[in-house]
Amino acid sequence: MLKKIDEVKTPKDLAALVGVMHAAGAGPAFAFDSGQDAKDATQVIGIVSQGGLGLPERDYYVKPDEKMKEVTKKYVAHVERTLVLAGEKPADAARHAPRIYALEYDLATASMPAADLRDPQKTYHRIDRAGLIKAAPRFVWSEYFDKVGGGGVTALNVQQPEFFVASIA
Amino acid sequence: MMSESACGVADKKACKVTKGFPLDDWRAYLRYHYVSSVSRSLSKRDSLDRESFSYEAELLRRRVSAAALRDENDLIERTAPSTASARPSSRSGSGVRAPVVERKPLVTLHAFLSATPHADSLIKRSRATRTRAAGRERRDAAAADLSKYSDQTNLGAALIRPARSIRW
Repeated sequence: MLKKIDEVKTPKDLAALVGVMHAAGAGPAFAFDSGQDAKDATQVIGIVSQGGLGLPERDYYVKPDEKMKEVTKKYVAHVERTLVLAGEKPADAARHAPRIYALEYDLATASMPAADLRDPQKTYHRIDRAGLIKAAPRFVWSEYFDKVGGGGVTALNVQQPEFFVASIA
Repeated sequence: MMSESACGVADKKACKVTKGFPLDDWRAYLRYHYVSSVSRSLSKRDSLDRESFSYEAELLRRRVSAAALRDENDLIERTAPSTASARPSSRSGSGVRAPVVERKPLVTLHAFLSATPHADSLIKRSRATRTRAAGRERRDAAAADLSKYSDQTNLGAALIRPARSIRW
Protein backbone atom coordinates (compact mmCIF):
# COMPACT_ATOMS: atom_id res chain seq x y z
CA MET A 1 0.00 0.00 0.00
CA LEU A 2 2.82 2.41 0.83
CA LYS A 3 4.24 1.81 -2.63
CA LYS A 4 0.85 2.53 -4.19
CA ILE A 5 0.65 5.76 -2.22
CA ASP A 6 4.06 6.82 -3.50
CA GLU A 7 2.86 6.14 -7.04
CA VAL A 8 -0.03 8.61 -6.87
CA LYS A 9 0.79 11.14 -9.60
CA THR A 10 -2.58 12.43 -10.77
CA PRO A 11 -6.01 13.26 -9.30
CA LYS A 12 -7.26 10.09 -11.00
CA ASP A 13 -4.65 8.04 -9.13
CA LEU A 14 -5.64 9.77 -5.91
CA ALA A 15 -9.34 8.93 -6.29
CA ALA A 16 -8.50 5.35 -7.18
CA LEU A 17 -6.25 4.94 -4.16
CA VAL A 18 -8.81 6.42 -1.78
CA GLY A 19 -11.14 3.74 -3.13
CA VAL A 20 -8.55 1.01 -2.55
CA MET A 21 -7.94 2.23 0.98
CA HIS A 22 -11.64 2.42 1.78
CA ALA A 23 -12.03 -1.12 0.50
CA ALA A 24 -9.20 -2.16 2.83
CA GLY A 25 -10.96 -0.59 5.80
CA ALA A 26 -8.97 2.62 6.22
CA GLY A 27 -10.92 5.89 6.13
CA PRO A 28 -9.11 8.77 4.47
CA ALA A 29 -10.90 11.86 3.09
CA PHE A 30 -14.51 10.74 3.64
CA ALA A 31 -16.55 7.62 4.33
CA PHE A 32 -18.51 5.29 2.07
CA ASP A 33 -20.78 2.53 3.24
CA SER A 34 -24.09 0.89 2.44
CA GLY A 35 -27.30 1.15 4.40
CA GLN A 36 -31.04 1.25 4.30
CA ASP A 37 -32.64 4.24 2.64
CA ALA A 38 -34.13 6.19 5.55
CA LYS A 39 -37.23 7.00 3.49
CA ASP A 40 -37.65 3.69 1.69
CA ALA A 41 -36.98 0.66 3.86
CA THR A 42 -37.10 -1.65 0.85
CA GLN A 43 -33.91 -0.18 -0.57
CA VAL A 44 -30.29 -0.57 0.45
CA ILE A 45 -28.28 2.27 -1.00
CA GLY A 46 -24.79 3.74 -0.85
CA ILE A 47 -24.10 6.23 1.89
CA VAL A 48 -21.39 8.84 1.47
CA SER A 49 -20.50 10.93 4.45
CA GLN A 50 -17.94 13.27 5.93
CA GLY A 51 -14.79 11.86 7.48
CA GLY A 52 -11.04 11.71 7.05
CA LEU A 53 -10.09 13.19 10.41
CA GLY A 54 -7.33 11.76 12.56
CA LEU A 55 -8.63 13.31 15.76
CA PRO A 56 -11.99 12.09 17.06
CA GLU A 57 -14.24 14.82 15.67
CA ARG A 58 -14.64 18.32 14.26
CA ASP A 59 -14.46 20.16 17.58
CA TYR A 60 -10.91 19.03 18.18
CA TYR A 61 -9.90 21.16 15.22
CA VAL A 62 -12.19 24.16 15.41
CA LYS A 63 -12.91 24.70 19.11
CA PRO A 64 -10.80 27.67 20.15
CA ASP A 65 -9.71 26.68 23.64
CA GLU A 66 -6.37 25.97 25.23
CA LYS A 67 -7.02 22.28 25.71
CA MET A 68 -7.65 21.74 22.02
CA LYS A 69 -4.58 23.78 21.10
CA GLU A 70 -2.53 21.53 23.31
CA VAL A 71 -4.08 18.47 21.67
CA THR A 72 -3.25 19.95 18.28
CA LYS A 73 0.42 20.38 19.15
CA LYS A 74 0.67 16.84 20.42
CA TYR A 75 -1.21 15.47 17.43
CA VAL A 76 1.06 17.18 14.90
CA ALA A 77 4.10 15.83 16.78
CA HIS A 78 2.51 12.37 16.72
CA VAL A 79 1.86 12.58 12.98
CA GLU A 80 5.46 13.62 12.38
CA ARG A 81 6.79 10.75 14.44
CA THR A 82 4.48 8.25 12.74
CA LEU A 83 5.65 9.40 9.31
CA VAL A 84 9.26 8.84 10.35
CA LEU A 85 8.35 5.38 11.58
CA ALA A 86 6.66 4.78 8.26
CA GLY A 87 9.89 5.46 6.44
CA GLU A 88 9.91 9.19 5.73
CA LYS A 89 13.06 11.21 6.26
CA PRO A 90 12.79 13.36 9.41
CA ALA A 91 12.97 16.57 7.37
CA ASP A 92 10.13 15.41 5.09
CA ALA A 93 8.07 14.29 8.07
CA ALA A 94 8.56 17.67 9.76
CA ARG A 95 7.35 19.38 6.58
CA HIS A 96 4.43 17.03 5.99
CA ALA A 97 2.98 16.83 9.51
CA PRO A 98 1.59 20.41 9.64
CA ARG A 99 0.36 20.05 6.06
CA ILE A 100 -1.53 16.90 6.99
CA TYR A 101 -3.01 18.75 9.92
CA ALA A 102 -3.97 21.63 7.64
CA LEU A 103 -5.68 19.23 5.24
CA GLU A 104 -7.60 17.66 8.12
CA TYR A 105 -8.40 21.13 9.44
CA ASP A 106 -10.05 21.89 6.12
CA LEU A 107 -12.03 18.66 6.28
CA ALA A 108 -13.05 19.54 9.84
CA THR A 109 -14.22 23.04 9.05
CA ALA A 110 -16.26 21.63 6.16
CA SER A 111 -17.81 19.00 8.44
CA MET A 112 -21.26 19.13 9.94
CA PRO A 113 -21.24 19.75 13.73
CA ALA A 114 -21.90 16.71 15.89
CA ALA A 115 -25.28 17.99 17.11
CA ASP A 116 -26.56 18.26 13.53
CA LEU A 117 -25.45 14.72 12.76
CA ARG A 118 -28.14 13.51 15.14
CA ASP A 119 -30.85 15.08 12.99
CA PRO A 120 -31.93 12.50 10.38
CA GLN A 121 -33.48 15.21 8.20
CA LYS A 122 -30.19 17.08 7.96
CA THR A 123 -28.29 14.01 6.89
CA TYR A 124 -30.68 12.82 4.21
CA HIS A 125 -29.81 14.02 0.72
CA ARG A 126 -30.68 11.58 -2.04
CA ILE A 127 -28.73 13.50 -4.64
CA ASP A 128 -27.38 10.20 -5.94
CA ARG A 129 -24.21 9.72 -7.91
CA ALA A 130 -24.94 12.42 -10.45
CA GLY A 131 -25.53 14.95 -7.69
CA LEU A 132 -22.32 13.97 -5.93
CA ILE A 133 -20.30 14.40 -9.12
CA LYS A 134 -21.90 17.80 -9.62
CA ALA A 135 -21.15 18.84 -6.03
CA ALA A 136 -17.52 17.74 -6.14
CA PRO A 137 -16.51 17.55 -9.82
CA ARG A 138 -12.74 17.60 -9.31
CA PHE A 139 -12.71 14.27 -7.53
CA VAL A 140 -12.68 11.43 -10.06
CA TRP A 141 -15.66 9.55 -8.67
CA SER A 142 -15.75 6.93 -11.41
CA GLU A 143 -12.26 5.78 -10.44
CA TYR A 144 -13.16 5.86 -6.78
CA PHE A 145 -16.32 3.77 -7.14
CA ASP A 146 -14.59 1.27 -9.38
CA LYS A 147 -11.87 0.65 -6.83
CA VAL A 148 -14.07 0.65 -3.76
CA GLY A 149 -16.19 -2.06 -5.33
CA GLY A 150 -19.26 0.03 -6.06
CA GLY A 151 -18.83 0.60 -9.76
CA GLY A 152 -22.52 0.23 -10.51
CA VAL A 153 -23.86 2.10 -7.51
CA THR A 154 -25.88 5.15 -8.44
CA ALA A 155 -28.37 5.41 -5.56
CA LEU A 156 -26.61 7.44 -2.90
CA ASN A 157 -27.49 9.37 0.20
CA VAL A 158 -24.83 12.05 0.43
CA GLN A 159 -25.22 12.85 4.09
CA GLN A 160 -23.36 16.16 4.06
CA PRO A 161 -23.20 17.58 0.52
CA GLU A 162 -21.66 20.80 1.87
CA PHE A 163 -18.71 18.82 3.14
CA PHE A 164 -17.87 17.62 -0.35
CA VAL A 165 -18.43 21.03 -1.91
CA ALA A 166 -16.15 22.70 0.61
CA SER A 167 -13.44 20.09 0.95
CA ILE A 168 -12.69 17.92 -2.05
CA ALA A 169 -14.65 19.76 -4.74
CA MET B 1 9.28 33.60 15.99
CA MET B 2 6.18 32.36 14.25
CA SER B 3 2.96 32.79 16.11
CA GLU B 4 0.24 30.19 15.99
CA SER B 5 -2.50 30.55 13.45
CA ALA B 6 -6.18 29.96 14.06
CA CYS B 7 -5.81 26.25 13.41
CA GLY B 8 -3.00 25.88 15.93
CA VAL B 9 -0.16 25.23 13.52
CA ALA B 10 2.87 27.51 13.38
CA ASP B 11 2.88 27.68 9.59
CA LYS B 12 0.09 30.15 8.89
CA LYS B 13 0.06 29.42 5.19
CA ALA B 14 -0.74 25.81 5.91
CA CYS B 15 -4.16 26.72 7.24
CA LYS B 16 -5.12 29.08 4.46
CA VAL B 17 -5.32 26.40 1.84
CA THR B 18 -8.90 25.35 1.51
CA LYS B 19 -8.96 23.52 -1.79
CA GLY B 20 -6.50 22.04 -4.20
CA PHE B 21 -3.95 20.62 -1.83
CA PRO B 22 -0.94 19.50 -3.84
CA LEU B 23 -0.63 15.78 -4.39
CA ASP B 24 2.46 15.67 -2.22
CA ASP B 25 0.29 16.68 0.74
CA TRP B 26 -2.32 14.09 -0.17
CA ARG B 27 0.32 11.37 -0.42
CA ALA B 28 1.61 12.25 3.03
CA TYR B 29 -1.94 12.37 4.35
CA LEU B 30 -2.76 8.94 2.90
CA ARG B 31 0.52 7.52 4.17
CA TYR B 32 -0.22 8.71 7.68
CA HIS B 33 -3.80 7.46 7.66
CA TYR B 34 -2.82 4.07 6.31
CA VAL B 35 -0.07 3.57 8.88
CA SER B 36 -2.35 4.88 11.60
CA SER B 37 -5.11 2.43 10.60
CA VAL B 38 -2.79 -0.55 10.66
CA SER B 39 -1.21 0.56 13.90
CA ARG B 40 -4.57 1.00 15.61
CA SER B 41 -5.68 -2.37 14.32
CA LEU B 42 -2.65 -3.97 15.87
CA SER B 43 -3.15 -2.37 19.23
CA LYS B 44 -4.95 -4.05 22.07
CA ARG B 45 -7.30 -1.09 22.32
CA ASP B 46 -9.12 -2.43 19.31
CA SER B 47 -9.75 -5.79 20.91
CA LEU B 48 -7.93 -7.81 18.33
CA ASP B 49 -7.98 -11.20 19.93
CA ARG B 50 -4.78 -12.31 21.53
CA GLU B 51 -4.33 -15.50 19.52
CA SER B 52 -4.61 -13.69 16.21
CA PHE B 53 -2.32 -10.98 17.41
CA SER B 54 0.31 -13.47 18.48
CA TYR B 55 0.06 -15.06 15.06
CA GLU B 56 0.61 -11.75 13.30
CA ALA B 57 3.52 -10.94 15.57
CA GLU B 58 5.08 -14.29 14.83
CA LEU B 59 4.74 -13.71 11.10
CA LEU B 60 6.27 -10.33 11.54
CA ARG B 61 9.21 -11.79 13.42
CA ARG B 62 9.85 -14.37 10.73
CA ARG B 63 9.51 -12.17 7.70
CA VAL B 64 11.61 -9.16 8.43
CA SER B 65 15.28 -9.34 7.80
CA ALA B 66 17.83 -8.96 10.53
CA ALA B 67 18.96 -5.73 8.96
CA ALA B 68 15.55 -4.26 9.55
CA LEU B 69 15.50 -5.02 13.23
CA ARG B 70 15.84 -1.94 15.33
CA ASP B 71 14.97 -0.96 18.84
CA GLU B 72 13.65 2.48 18.12
CA ASN B 73 10.15 1.53 17.13
CA ASP B 74 8.20 2.08 20.27
CA LEU B 75 4.94 1.92 18.34
CA ILE B 76 5.50 -1.74 17.70
CA GLU B 77 6.83 -2.18 21.20
CA ARG B 78 3.67 -0.74 22.66
CA THR B 79 1.46 -2.88 20.50
CA ALA B 80 3.49 -6.07 20.70
CA PRO B 81 1.98 -8.78 22.87
CA SER B 82 3.79 -10.03 25.90
CA THR B 83 4.72 -13.68 26.07
CA ALA B 84 1.87 -14.07 28.55
CA SER B 85 -0.56 -13.75 25.65
CA ALA B 86 0.75 -16.87 23.98
CA ARG B 87 -1.65 -19.19 25.72
CA PRO B 88 -3.53 -22.18 24.40
CA SER B 89 -6.53 -21.06 22.42
CA SER B 90 -9.56 -21.06 24.69
CA ARG B 91 -11.97 -20.99 21.76
CA SER B 92 -10.70 -23.68 19.51
CA GLY B 93 -10.34 -26.24 22.26
CA SER B 94 -7.71 -27.92 20.16
CA GLY B 95 -5.06 -27.59 22.81
CA VAL B 96 -2.62 -26.35 20.18
CA ARG B 97 -0.41 -23.73 21.66
CA ALA B 98 -0.08 -20.37 20.00
CA PRO B 99 3.49 -19.61 19.00
CA VAL B 100 5.60 -18.13 21.73
CA VAL B 101 6.30 -14.57 20.75
CA GLU B 102 9.47 -12.85 21.78
CA ARG B 103 9.09 -9.27 22.83
CA LYS B 104 12.31 -8.39 21.06
CA PRO B 105 13.82 -7.95 18.55
CA LEU B 106 11.64 -5.15 17.34
CA VAL B 107 11.16 -3.96 13.81
CA THR B 108 10.36 -0.68 12.24
CA LEU B 109 6.78 -0.04 11.32
CA HIS B 110 7.89 0.53 7.77
CA ALA B 111 9.64 -2.83 7.69
CA PHE B 112 6.53 -4.48 9.07
CA LEU B 113 4.22 -2.92 6.51
CA SER B 114 6.59 -3.76 3.69
CA ALA B 115 7.14 -7.32 4.81
CA THR B 116 3.58 -8.23 5.68
CA PRO B 117 1.48 -8.48 2.52
CA HIS B 118 -1.69 -9.01 4.48
CA ALA B 119 -1.30 -5.91 6.67
CA ASP B 120 -4.38 -4.46 4.97
CA SER B 121 -6.53 -7.30 6.16
CA LEU B 122 -5.71 -6.48 9.76
CA ILE B 123 -7.74 -3.31 9.50
CA LYS B 124 -10.87 -5.14 8.42
CA ARG B 125 -10.47 -7.86 11.01
CA SER B 126 -10.09 -5.32 13.75
CA ARG B 127 -13.16 -3.47 12.56
CA ALA B 128 -15.18 -6.69 12.46
CA THR B 129 -14.10 -7.50 16.00
CA ARG B 130 -15.21 -4.07 17.17
CA THR B 131 -18.52 -4.40 15.37
CA ARG B 132 -19.24 -7.76 16.98
CA ALA B 133 -18.34 -6.40 20.41
CA ALA B 134 -20.60 -3.38 19.88
CA GLY B 135 -23.44 -5.69 18.82
CA ARG B 136 -23.07 -7.76 21.95
CA GLU B 137 -23.12 -4.60 24.10
CA ARG B 138 -26.28 -3.35 22.40
CA ARG B 139 -28.03 -6.69 22.87
CA ASP B 140 -26.99 -6.84 26.52
CA ALA B 141 -28.22 -3.30 27.10
CA ALA B 142 -31.52 -4.07 25.38
CA ALA B 143 -31.94 -7.21 27.46
CA ALA B 144 -31.26 -5.23 30.63
CA ASP B 145 -33.89 -2.67 29.67
CA LEU B 146 -36.50 -5.25 28.81
CA SER B 147 -35.93 -7.23 31.98
CA LYS B 148 -37.35 -4.29 33.93
CA TYR B 149 -40.76 -5.27 32.64
CA SER B 150 -41.40 -8.71 34.04
CA ASP B 151 -44.43 -9.47 31.84
CA GLN B 152 -42.40 -8.80 28.71
CA THR B 153 -39.16 -10.41 29.67
CA ASN B 154 -39.62 -13.66 27.82
CA LEU B 155 -40.87 -12.01 24.68
CA GLY B 156 -38.11 -9.43 24.87
CA ALA B 157 -35.41 -12.03 25.31
CA ALA B 158 -36.72 -13.97 22.31
CA LEU B 159 -36.85 -10.88 20.14
CA ILE B 160 -33.37 -9.69 20.82
CA ARG B 161 -31.76 -13.08 20.46
CA PRO B 162 -30.29 -13.86 17.05
CA ALA B 163 -32.91 -15.68 14.97
CA ARG B 164 -30.95 -18.89 14.68
CA SER B 165 -30.84 -19.38 18.45
CA ILE B 166 -34.52 -18.85 19.18
CA ARG B 167 -36.11 -21.95 20.75
CA TRP B 168 -39.87 -22.15 20.59
